[in-house]
Amino acid sequence: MENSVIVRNLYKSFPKDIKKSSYVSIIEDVSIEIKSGEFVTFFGPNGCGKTTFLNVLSGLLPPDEGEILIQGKNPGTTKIGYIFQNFPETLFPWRKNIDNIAFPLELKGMSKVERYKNVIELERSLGIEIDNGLYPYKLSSGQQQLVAIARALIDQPYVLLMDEPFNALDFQTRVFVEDKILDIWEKTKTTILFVSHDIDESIYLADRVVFFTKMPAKIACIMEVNLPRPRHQQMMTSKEFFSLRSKAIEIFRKVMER
Amino acid sequence: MRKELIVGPIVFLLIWALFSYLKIVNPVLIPTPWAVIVRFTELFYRGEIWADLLATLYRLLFGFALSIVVGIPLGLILGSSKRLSDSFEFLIDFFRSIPASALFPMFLLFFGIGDKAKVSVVVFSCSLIIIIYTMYGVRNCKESRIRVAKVMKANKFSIFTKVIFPESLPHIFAGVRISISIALILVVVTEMFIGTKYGLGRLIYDSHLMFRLSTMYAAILIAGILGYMLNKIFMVVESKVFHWAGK
Repeated sequence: MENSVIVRNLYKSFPKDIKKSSYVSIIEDVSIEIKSGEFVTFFGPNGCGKTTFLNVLSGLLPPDEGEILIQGKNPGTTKIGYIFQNFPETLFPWRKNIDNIAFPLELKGMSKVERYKNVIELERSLGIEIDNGLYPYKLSSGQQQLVAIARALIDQPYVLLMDEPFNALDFQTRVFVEDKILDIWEKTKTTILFVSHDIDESIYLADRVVFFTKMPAKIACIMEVNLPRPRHQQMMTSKEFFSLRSKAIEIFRKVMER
Repeated sequence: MRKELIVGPIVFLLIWALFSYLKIVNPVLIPTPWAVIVRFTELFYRGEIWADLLATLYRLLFGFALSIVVGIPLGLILGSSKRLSDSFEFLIDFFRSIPASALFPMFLLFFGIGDKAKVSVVVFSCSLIIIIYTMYGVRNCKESRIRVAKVMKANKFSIFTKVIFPESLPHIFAGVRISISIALILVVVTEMFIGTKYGLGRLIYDSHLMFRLSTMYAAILIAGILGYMLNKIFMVVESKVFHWAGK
C-alpha cells in the first residue's frame, strides 16, 4: 500500500521568551511513514509535544527542520481534516449544524444547493444522524463531536488528525463516539492520526500505537496492534488486549524513567 | 406578559398620588398623576409634541447612525491588529473618559448652535463606545475557530468575513445598544444647554423656566418611554439574532 503520510527528521522548537534569545526543543528527529488508510494513535505523557506534532503536520506551524509529505504534497497545499481537543470551541455557534458541516465546501465556492446535498449524502454514508437545522449549542457534546467530525470529513481529506478529541466526553458518550469513529474510518478509509493520553483508547482504536518520549518528543517505540477488525468494546476484556496493554504500560514506564 | 409587571407601576402611581393629594410635598412641585396624564395625552392629542419629539428623534438617530458608520469599521481595523490597538488603546480610553458634557463649549465653538453641534457630541461619545466594543469583540475571537478555518485553507479575507466578523457581532451589538441609551441622554442635555427651538430637552427646560410643571413632567415621561422602548427593541433583537452568543 502507498504511504499517505511521510515524516522525515522533523524538528520543532519554540522560543522561550518574546526576545527569542533561547529555544526549547519540542520535537526532535521524528520520522515515521503511515500507510494510506491506516489508523495510528500517538501516545505519550502529558505536555510531551503531541499537540505541537499535529499542529506541524496540519501545516498550522512550520517545522524547523525536516520534511512532511501528505499524499506526496506539502501540508499547506493538501486537504487535511483536523479535530481539535476543545471541539465545541471550533464549531461556529452562529451557523446551523448543516452550515457548520458545509463550511469547507463554502470556502471552495460551492453553491448552497450542492453543499447541502453533499452534507446529507455524507451523513447518510457515515450513518450519523444530526439535526441539521439546529444550532450546535443545542446538541449534546457527543452530537457536537459528530458535527466536528463530519465537517472535517466533508471535503474528503487525505488524512484526519485528531487531538485527544474525546477528553471532554463522559464515559457513555466516549464509548459511543469511539465506535462511531472506527465505523466512519472503515467506511471512508481515511488515514487517521489520533493523539491520545488514554492507553486503552490508543490500543483499542489503532493499527499501530506510536509512543512518544517526554518532551522533547521523540519516537520511543512503535507497537503493532493485531486485534481483529471490526473492533468492539468487549475486546477490551480479552487476553490479547491485556497483553498489549501490559506491554504498552511497560514501554510507558521506560519512557518516563528515561 | 407577566401579571406582576404591573404591580410596581401601580404602587408608584399610588405613592405619587398620596404625596400630591395629601400635600406631603409642596403641591406646586409635584402635580397630581392625573394632571400629568391629562397633559401627556393633550400633548399628543393636540399635536403639540410632534415637532419636539421628531427633532429629538432626528438628532438621536442621525448621531447614532453616524456613530455606527464611523465606529464599527474603525473598531474592526483597530481590533484586527494588536499593534494598532495597543498604540491607540490609551488614547481611546482617555477620550472615552472625558465627560461628554465637558466638551459642549468646544463643539459649540466649532459647529455653532445648530444641530451639527448636538449630533457631533453624540457621534463623539457613541462612536468611541462602539469602537471599543468592536475592538474587544474582534480581539476576543476564539483562536481555535480561526485555526480550524486555517486548516481548511481559508484565506485571510474569508477568515475575517466568515469567522472573526460574525463572532464579534454580539459584542458590536452590545456596544450599539449601550450607545443608543447614551445618545438619548446626550441629545436631551444638549437641547437644554445648546439652544434650539424644538426638542424634548428644550421642552422640559422651557416648561421648567415657565413653571409649567405638568408639561415638564409629561415631557420627562415621554423621554423615559422613548428611552425604554429603544432599549427594549435592541434587547429583543439581541436575544433573537444573537441567541448563540457566548456558546
